[in-house]
Amino acid sequence: MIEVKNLVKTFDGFRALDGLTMTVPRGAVYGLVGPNGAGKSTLLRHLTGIYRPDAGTVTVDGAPVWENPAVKRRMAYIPDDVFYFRSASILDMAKFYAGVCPAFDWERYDKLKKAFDLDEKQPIRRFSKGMQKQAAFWLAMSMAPDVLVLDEPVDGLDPVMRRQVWSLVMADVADRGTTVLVSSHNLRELEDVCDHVGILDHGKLLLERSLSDLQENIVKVMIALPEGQALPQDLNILHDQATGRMHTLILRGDADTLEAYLAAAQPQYMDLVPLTLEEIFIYELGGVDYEVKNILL
Amino acid sequence: MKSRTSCSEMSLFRRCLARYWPLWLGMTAVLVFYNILPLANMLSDPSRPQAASGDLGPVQLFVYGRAATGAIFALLFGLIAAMAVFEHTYSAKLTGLFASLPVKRSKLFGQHWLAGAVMLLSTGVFIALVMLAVEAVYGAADLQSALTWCAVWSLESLTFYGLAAFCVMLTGHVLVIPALYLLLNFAGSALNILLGGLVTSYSYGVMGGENGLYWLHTLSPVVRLMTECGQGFGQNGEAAGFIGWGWVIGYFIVGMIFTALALWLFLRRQNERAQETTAFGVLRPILKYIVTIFFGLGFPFLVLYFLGGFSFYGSGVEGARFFPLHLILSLVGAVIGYFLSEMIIRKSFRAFSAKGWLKALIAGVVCCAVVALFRFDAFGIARHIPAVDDVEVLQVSGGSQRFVLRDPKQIEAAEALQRELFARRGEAEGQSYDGGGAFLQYSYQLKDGRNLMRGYHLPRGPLLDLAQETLGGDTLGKMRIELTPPVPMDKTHVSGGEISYAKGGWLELTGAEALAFYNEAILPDVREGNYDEMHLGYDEQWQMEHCYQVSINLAITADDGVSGLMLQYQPTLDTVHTNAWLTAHGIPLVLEKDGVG
Repeated sequence: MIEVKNLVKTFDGFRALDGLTMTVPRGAVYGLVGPNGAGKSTLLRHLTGIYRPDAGTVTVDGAPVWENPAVKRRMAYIPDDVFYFRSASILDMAKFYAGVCPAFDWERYDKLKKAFDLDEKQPIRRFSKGMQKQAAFWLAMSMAPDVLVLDEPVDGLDPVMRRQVWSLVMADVADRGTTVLVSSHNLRELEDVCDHVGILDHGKLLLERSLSDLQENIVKVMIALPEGQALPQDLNILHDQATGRMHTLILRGDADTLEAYLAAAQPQYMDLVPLTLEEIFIYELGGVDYEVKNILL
Repeated sequence: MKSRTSCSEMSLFRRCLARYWPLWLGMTAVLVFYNILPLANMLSDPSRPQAASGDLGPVQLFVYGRAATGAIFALLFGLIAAMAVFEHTYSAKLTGLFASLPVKRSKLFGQHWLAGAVMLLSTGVFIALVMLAVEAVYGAADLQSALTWCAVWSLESLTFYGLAAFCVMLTGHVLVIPALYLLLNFAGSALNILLGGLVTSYSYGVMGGENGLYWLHTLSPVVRLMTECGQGFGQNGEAAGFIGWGWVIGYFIVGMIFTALALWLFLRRQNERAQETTAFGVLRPILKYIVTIFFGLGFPFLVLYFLGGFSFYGSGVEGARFFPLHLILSLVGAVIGYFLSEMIIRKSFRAFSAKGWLKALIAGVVCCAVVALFRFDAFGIARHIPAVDDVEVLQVSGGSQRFVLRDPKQIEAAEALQRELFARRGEAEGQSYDGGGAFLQYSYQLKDGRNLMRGYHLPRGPLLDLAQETLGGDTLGKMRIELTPPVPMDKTHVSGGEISYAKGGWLELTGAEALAFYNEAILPDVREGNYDEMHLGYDEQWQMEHCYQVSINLAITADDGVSGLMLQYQPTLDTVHTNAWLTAHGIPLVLEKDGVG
């Protein structure tokens, strides 16, 4: 389990992380969302032991990450701008990582070779940006990490390769219980893969939930009631948009319970529509004075 | 079975060597060009001295000389090696890569430092072996000098490597590293030049190189190593091996201390500082004000030197003319330095702010105050005159004459003149010497072994007259008779002499002849005061009308049997005994105004 408590990081007076607290359960695929400059990369660099916290703690299974090789050996990190030594090939980098990270699995490396159609002996600098990202995945997953930290991981990958990369990651999660922390400024990107999501803005975590919690407790209902009939009073309405008699409601609560409850009002029309993750966040946070749309879109 | 730790150590170390081998090759090539090729060239010359006898003197002389001057390459390669192996401190992407590795920072530093050290040391060993092989080919293999070269190179390169590593840790910017390194290595010498310039520009009597600031060069290792090391020679000129080990080892210890400091800094530096001008926030004001002060003090000299008319080492007389301009330029220099450093630190031209202007002006005022302190001798450098009891010997020289004072009364009289000259320095300050004048020099040898030298420019006028009168008058003039030359003299004092005269005439004297000449002719004239007048300034008319075109030089050996002195006399109309001796020996007495050639 990754735990971050009251993390503070200041750059020349600018508070990039402002008392941030978050928890990533073991085996979770945790999506970290936020606009540019929210502090996502800064947070990930703390999680991977690159940055030293000004205040607060960052631990993996209770052990601090900073200056702790034992913890770092269990982690692999793909930054947003991947870097390789000049003139190094994938094989050179693999040898380097194998020397530094004892967990590097050559057998796994050979297996992954089939998934990525890359020449392991060609200098990586000759690869396209997307190919360099693939190489990063190849190397990171060859380390058989317990914790995989990904910063904007699929930028530059084509849709087919995105799907393939995610499927490899998910297989790892399923087989080995790998904990994955992935950051993105695009919530739609994470919707299909994450089971936990946190929203970060101005160095603070605005919200942190499991996806199931979110989806089970918020419902979008399109309902048209008979003339003169009002909506039941005790609904927890997050949003209500009316066009004539047709209401589009975002309601907090269990879908089945709400459906039964609304049916009692004998609506002329009623339909429960699934919400996108983006919509859920907009309505969850909409009442907390945050410019949520600016964060998510 | 290898432990995990050793595995990672080897991997980083090997990667470092594999990555930077072209640098190793380049360094080796440069040292081959600098050491091996000239050595081979020298040895292959059949006309070289002792080529056939197998004398290793020339080889040692060459190799030790190269060991000393090699400090400049150690300086350069130390920087290159440090910048290469610690690349991960100033490249943000590399910083991220290395910091995320499961390796402790201390080990990260250690492995990279070791890789750089191995590069430098292996270069030295390789060059020493090639040196030995080349010498062997020409039958002049000298293991001692090759080992010495290798040891000196190893110690010096590690010294500068340590200094460079320290600089790398202070900054996160690739261009700031060499700038800091130059500052660290040459700040002492630069300060010596700047403060020395101030002292000698404004402190009346303080001469260039005699300002008591030479020790500042010690803060510039490469300067000291290149000036203090090399081939040593004995009293009789025989080769005495390599000298300067004390400096080499001393600086090596300093280099190791800086290496430890570099590690200490590395453990504390923030990785996010990669690509920033300073790796520690606290360094920003320090760096800024160092640059500001250097500009504030150095800019005026630069401008005044290029504008011309300013004597950098003017013994304190020329500065007075430029003092107001100097203050203005100091202020301007400090402001330039302040905003330049602000721009570098911010990496932006937007460095100007009201607060910045205020700080820059305050720094400028501080620089002006420093200049003023020297101008008004706040440190007492110029007015310091040693107590008579502390003086072993005082040598006063002016014009073409000098005399040596040992008697406290005579020293006191000479110092009284010195005090008077200093008190009336206003008459000399700001004077141009185009109109002539004299230079009067005081050389003190103190009882504690130290030396002190002062020199006074005396423009034509009352000040020169005062000195002339004092040195040629009753007070010192008569006492001088008893002291110069040493009286009595015997044959052990006079080793020979020569007399040159009109129309290219020349007479050489043996020691006995010179002694006889001295006792029979010169000494009586000296005792009668006929040689008394010490002409500080060149008075052409007096010279032409009173002096004969004869130059007498007597080689004197002092009582210690080692130090030598050449006594020079020019006979005048007054030196009757000398004139009689010269005439008796067929030397024509022709006044200068009548002489030819």
